[in-house]
Amino acid sequence: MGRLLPFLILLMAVAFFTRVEFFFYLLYALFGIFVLGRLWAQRSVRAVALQRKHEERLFWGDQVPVQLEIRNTGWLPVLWLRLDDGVPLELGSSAHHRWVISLAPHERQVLSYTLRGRRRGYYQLGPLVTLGGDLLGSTTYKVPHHDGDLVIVYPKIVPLRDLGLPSQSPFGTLPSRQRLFEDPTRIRGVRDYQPGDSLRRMDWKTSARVGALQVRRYEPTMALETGILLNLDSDDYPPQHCRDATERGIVVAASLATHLIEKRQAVSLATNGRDPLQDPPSAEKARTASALPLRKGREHLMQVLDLLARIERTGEDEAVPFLDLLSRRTLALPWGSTVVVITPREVAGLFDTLLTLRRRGLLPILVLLLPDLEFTLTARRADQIGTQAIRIWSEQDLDMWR
Amino acid sequence: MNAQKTGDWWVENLLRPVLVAAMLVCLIAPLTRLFEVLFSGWDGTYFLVFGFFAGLEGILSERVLQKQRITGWGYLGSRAAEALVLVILMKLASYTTLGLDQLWADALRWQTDPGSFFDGMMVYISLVFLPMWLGSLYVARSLRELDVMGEKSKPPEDKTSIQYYLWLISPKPARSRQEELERLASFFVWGGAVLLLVSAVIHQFVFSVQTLVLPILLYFALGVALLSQGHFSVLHAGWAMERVPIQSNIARRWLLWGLVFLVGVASVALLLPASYAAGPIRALLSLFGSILGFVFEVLFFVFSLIIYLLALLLSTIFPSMREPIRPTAPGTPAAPAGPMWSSGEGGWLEMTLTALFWILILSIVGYAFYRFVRDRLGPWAESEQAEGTWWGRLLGWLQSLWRWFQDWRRGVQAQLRQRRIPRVREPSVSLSPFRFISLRRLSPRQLVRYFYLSTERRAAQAGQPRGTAQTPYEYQAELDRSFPELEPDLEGLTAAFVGARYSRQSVQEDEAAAVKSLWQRIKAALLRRRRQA
Repeated sequence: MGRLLPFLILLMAVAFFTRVEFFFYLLYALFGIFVLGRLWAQRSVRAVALQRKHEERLFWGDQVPVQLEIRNTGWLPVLWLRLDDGVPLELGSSAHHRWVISLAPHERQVLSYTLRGRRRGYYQLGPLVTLGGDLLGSTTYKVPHHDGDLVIVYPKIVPLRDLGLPSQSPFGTLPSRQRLFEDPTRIRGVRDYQPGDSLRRMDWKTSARVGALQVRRYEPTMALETGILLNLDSDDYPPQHCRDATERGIVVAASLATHLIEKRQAVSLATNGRDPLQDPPSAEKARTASALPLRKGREHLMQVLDLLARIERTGEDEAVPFLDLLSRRTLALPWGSTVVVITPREVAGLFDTLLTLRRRGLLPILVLLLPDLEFTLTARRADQIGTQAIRIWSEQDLDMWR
Repeated sequence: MNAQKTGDWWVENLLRPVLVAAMLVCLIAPLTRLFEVLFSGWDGTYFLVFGFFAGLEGILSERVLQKQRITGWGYLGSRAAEALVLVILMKLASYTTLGLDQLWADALRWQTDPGSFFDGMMVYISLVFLPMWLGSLYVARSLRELDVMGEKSKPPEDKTSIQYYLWLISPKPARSRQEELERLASFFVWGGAVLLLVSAVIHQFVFSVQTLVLPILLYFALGVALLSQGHFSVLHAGWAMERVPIQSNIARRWLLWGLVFLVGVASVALLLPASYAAGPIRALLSLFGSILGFVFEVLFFVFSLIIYLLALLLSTIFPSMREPIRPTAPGTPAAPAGPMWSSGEGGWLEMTLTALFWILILSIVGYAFYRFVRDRLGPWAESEQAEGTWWGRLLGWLQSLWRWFQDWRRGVQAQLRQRRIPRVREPSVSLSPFRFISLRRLSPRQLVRYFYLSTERRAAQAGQPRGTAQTPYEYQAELDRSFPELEPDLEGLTAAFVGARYSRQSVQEDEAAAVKSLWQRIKAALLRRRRQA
């Protein structure tokens, strides 16, 4: 228009000077092409509605399609529209997905691309920006769409068949070698009555049929209520193993939680890592911790995996001290529960805390994530207080639970 | 150079050259018409036709020369030879109207007097033809840049050479393409300005410009179409360089919708008034007065109708009353009497059209003023110097007014959109303390929400009310400080509430049962605290 304006003024002057109607029509037409062209571009670009359709949760290594639905809600066609959708590098082969399309009135188009869950995390897709313009290129209109689509990539889950974690909780669903606890809902058979047997165990129908008193035999079972405590305090991680050890700890926690919840056991999770969804540390609450209560079921598993997907190692002096977390977050666990303590290395006072847990009737298991030359000594000390110490330096170390 | 074609081959190699050649012919049409008038008996039709083909040849030959990499003096020599050939051909073409006998007679004369080949008429039309032809070469270069997708050539091996330096500083194709489009637009505008001025002069001194309507109209129509296509080429090339996937039919749609738009605008322009019967102020006042008069007339009619119906009702009750006079419907507003208005029904319409005419003209003038102020005072108004001055304050006030209007408009639009969306209402749960709530009838999600709200209420009774701006997590932190023994329970309850309230995940019955146990413990503790207090 910078160039067209002097021309329009000249045209207007010529029109008034000659008083020829044709020049006025020409003036209207050129001015109209400029003004209406801009209006057309502005209205049509703003009438475009966008919607992303995709799975919000990805397992590690998964590939899921994202469908981008573009709809022209207006009566004007969209001459050209450039779409630029930003994707975190951890989720795609490129940081941007771009297209150029045009849309007829009320036309709907679906574009697609693929997300790859290459790294655990909590990601926001976008920004999705549309850009359109007019016929003569006098202007462009950019419309950012802040839709805030989120994608969670779960940590890698290593299948574990037989954990063999100790538990003292009676009346669970896992068969146990300890005959002390029997589940009255799981009948294994009947036997002859012996003096001292409780009348509650009598199977009257069978007794009537065989003509002798029979009592029911129950299967011994145990409940593996487990609290997983994950240490993500940066101060406890040496810089050279920082990233690997963190991810390994999260993989261990996720694999354990998945295995146990699939066995219909209740699991709780507590960590002193930083959850990006929580408010940043403030003066009042300078240190953060995230926890999920003891529950079972797939919904709970999703919550656990969500948290493990999001969680990050805390900065220096930001995390709740792990031993404090260990003491406080195990308070709600019932007697006999298993406590899996995942930490990079033995921190000062850890065994004192583990011993306290042991005395409270909990069964701690220590999982160390870093190679430690003194691990044998650590394992021996753990054995002395009746706990088990495991070192998981690589995924192959999880074979002991497979 | 690794060349890659963009867009449609027909558009690049035929449509655009034809458009440009036709535009150039339109440019020389007024002068041709002038020559026809000045040199009676000379028919300029052949000249226009020849000019079109010569322009087309100039554009297409530019491609050939570029392809053969003929530059510098070689290029100049080739073009000079071409110009000579074209002038001779133009001379020969003139005999299409003069006839072969005339050609034969002139040919005999040229043998004795070669200078007679370039007679006066030939010189005049050559003076018109050659600038037009040179213009076609100029535009052809721009078109060539727009057409071909130019990748940067491979860099020279020797990185210390001048060639490598030149390669480094050579502009990127996309940049030069945009510049070429700008150059093309400048050519279009300057050509249009010349065409207008020449037409105005001819109209004033020689003959009416009405006879030049077709070439002028064609020039602008073709120019806008050419610029539109050129803009598409630049965009397309940019997208292709960025390897952005492009919808296959976008070029066709661009052409079609662009054409529809241009024809539509031109049609609307033709419907608009192009003359005026009065000045802008009187016309606008007249239009305003007419609208006001019409509104008053409608109001009066409505009032009369009510009175009439009332009187009709009364006349049925009291037969001795006279039958009321029926009101007449309001018609088109009559123009107020005055010396400036033409009499009859056409007066109102004429003044409306005049007002519309002035609105259009004033909008163009208003835009010019806006540009004037924006270009000069816009950067200054944003600077610190403007603060404190009356002008700066005025601009600031106007800007704030505009922002207020935009916010208000967006708010209204948002409200309207909200009203259009059908509300999906959850089964309502009244948590009023005066109504009985059956927990059995509540869904797990509603139960969790109930437990939380109940806790909130009881905590408030125990001296820990929730602040209006507090989030559940902030409130939980505050309660944790007052009830440290309840921290795990409060955390579980808060997490469950946030999940039930804000997430779309389903809430299971066992979860609600677990939250219930938390709630019961918290409730008991709060009750104890309340009793102690």
